[in-house]
Amino acid sequence: MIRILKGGIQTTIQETRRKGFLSLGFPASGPMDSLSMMGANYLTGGNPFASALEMYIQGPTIEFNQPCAIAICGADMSPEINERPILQDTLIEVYKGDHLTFKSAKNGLITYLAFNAPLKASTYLFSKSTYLAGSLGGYKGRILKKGDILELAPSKTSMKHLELPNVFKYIRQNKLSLRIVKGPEFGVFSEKDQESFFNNDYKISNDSNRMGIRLMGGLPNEIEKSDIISSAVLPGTIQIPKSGNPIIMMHDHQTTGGYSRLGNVITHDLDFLSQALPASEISFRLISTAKSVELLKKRINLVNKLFAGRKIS
Amino acid sequence: MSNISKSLEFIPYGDQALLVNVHEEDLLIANEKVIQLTHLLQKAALIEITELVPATNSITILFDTFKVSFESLEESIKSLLINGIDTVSSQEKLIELPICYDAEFALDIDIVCDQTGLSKDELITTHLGTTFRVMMTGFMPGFFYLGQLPEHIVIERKSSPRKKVLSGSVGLAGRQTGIYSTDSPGGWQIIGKSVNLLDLILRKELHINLGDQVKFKRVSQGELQNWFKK
Repeated sequence: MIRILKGGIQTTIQETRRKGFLSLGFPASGPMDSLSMMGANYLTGGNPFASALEMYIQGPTIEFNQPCAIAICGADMSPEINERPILQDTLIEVYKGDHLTFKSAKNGLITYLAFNAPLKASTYLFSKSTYLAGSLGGYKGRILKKGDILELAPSKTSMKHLELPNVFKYIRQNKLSLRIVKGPEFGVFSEKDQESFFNNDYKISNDSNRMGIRLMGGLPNEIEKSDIISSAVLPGTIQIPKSGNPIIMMHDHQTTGGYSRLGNVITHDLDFLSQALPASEISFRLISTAKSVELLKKRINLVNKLFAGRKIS
Repeated sequence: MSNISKSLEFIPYGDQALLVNVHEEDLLIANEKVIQLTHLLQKAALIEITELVPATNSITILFDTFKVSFESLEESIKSLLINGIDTVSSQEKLIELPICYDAEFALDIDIVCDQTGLSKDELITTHLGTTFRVMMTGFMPGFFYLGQLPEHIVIERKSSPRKKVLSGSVGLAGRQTGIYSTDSPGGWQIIGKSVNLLDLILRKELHINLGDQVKFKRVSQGELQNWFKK
């Protein structure tokens, strides 16, 4: 088992996405930056979406009451074991009594900690992923706090050091250019508004979280026709309320929305978006639906190939 | 059933979903068609479809891009529609839900009155006098979209959503009303407080299905607390 000595800013258990319950109002949840989580699981021998801790801004302090192996991927949180710096993006052996600490994330927002044994956590609708707004899944449906104890299943995989494939290595992007496809209400916006949407440099607002990322620096004028009859929104859906400041739905999103959907950030680029710091700049560019599908498939094929070719023992 | 295909519009939505909009002047008719199409798709159980999200006048169909393309999914749905199905009408029931319009809960009632030109009393009378229908679920767990208000009452959402709406809050948007089931961000205009439906549903004290009818009954704060305990 491991004991949480300090919770960090927002540490949750995330696992596979909770698919199949959107119509009942449950978003899929799961990792915000799936590439980084898959990277940590790649190193520890787990499945791509095996349970891991998702740590926002500042990670927790953890005491290990059993030996195990861990991997840390994502934004650089300067991890230390017993006050000695350790590396991210590699497998680390941990001994009973060790203390793992983190500093603030330097070059992003989110870091993942994976173990070479599954975390025991409550499964809700077939997933252990924490859905904070619904207070369900993970550890009591909430962020980890001082005093929480997490059980690890007995470790199955032997420890073998693997090189982290490039696709899983987190690299900070100072100015994100997100690729989008046209949304269902793209045509509702005037040509002028469409043009300014693509020419605008937006800034990430402080109010962003696992549900959605709000942007500032909206269209210069209020949108005339921003409301629609409520319809489904998905991770990546860009809603434009009347204020003109876009809101991009993320993995804990509300499942329907009533603002016009100008576009969808392609699934491939959501991981990068999730790591963008408040006040950092974002712009959008349009690609075809065919291209977005191609990128999605290419990514999934690459991940599957890497995990299938991994030699754990 | 085949006549419904005329009012349907298929739009690629993101990189792994197809949106089907149902174009009908009357939203209640559109909603009936949504429910029919949802049943048809559920029954057909196409292997490439991973999830359906029915809404008031649209259905979002999530699918596996490795199994099917946007174009061929649209074709399969159209051919299902040509063959059609017998629709089963379910037993619809009337549910009475409490509401308290006290000022401390009715955060946006002045905005709503401004938008509609109604007095508070007129608005409340209209809200209480409307028999709503459960047109869709979603938004958040335990949220039901109830429609619809008379034609002259169309409420604009907040120009920027409120960061936190408390659970139990009753909101208006468009010609619909709904009850927040968890504390959540939201753009609906809040006019009162009801009960947390999600809690009641999880405790199996209440069952709500698509198509059910809902009427609100005005109560005091005290009565609200004890509504389902009597």
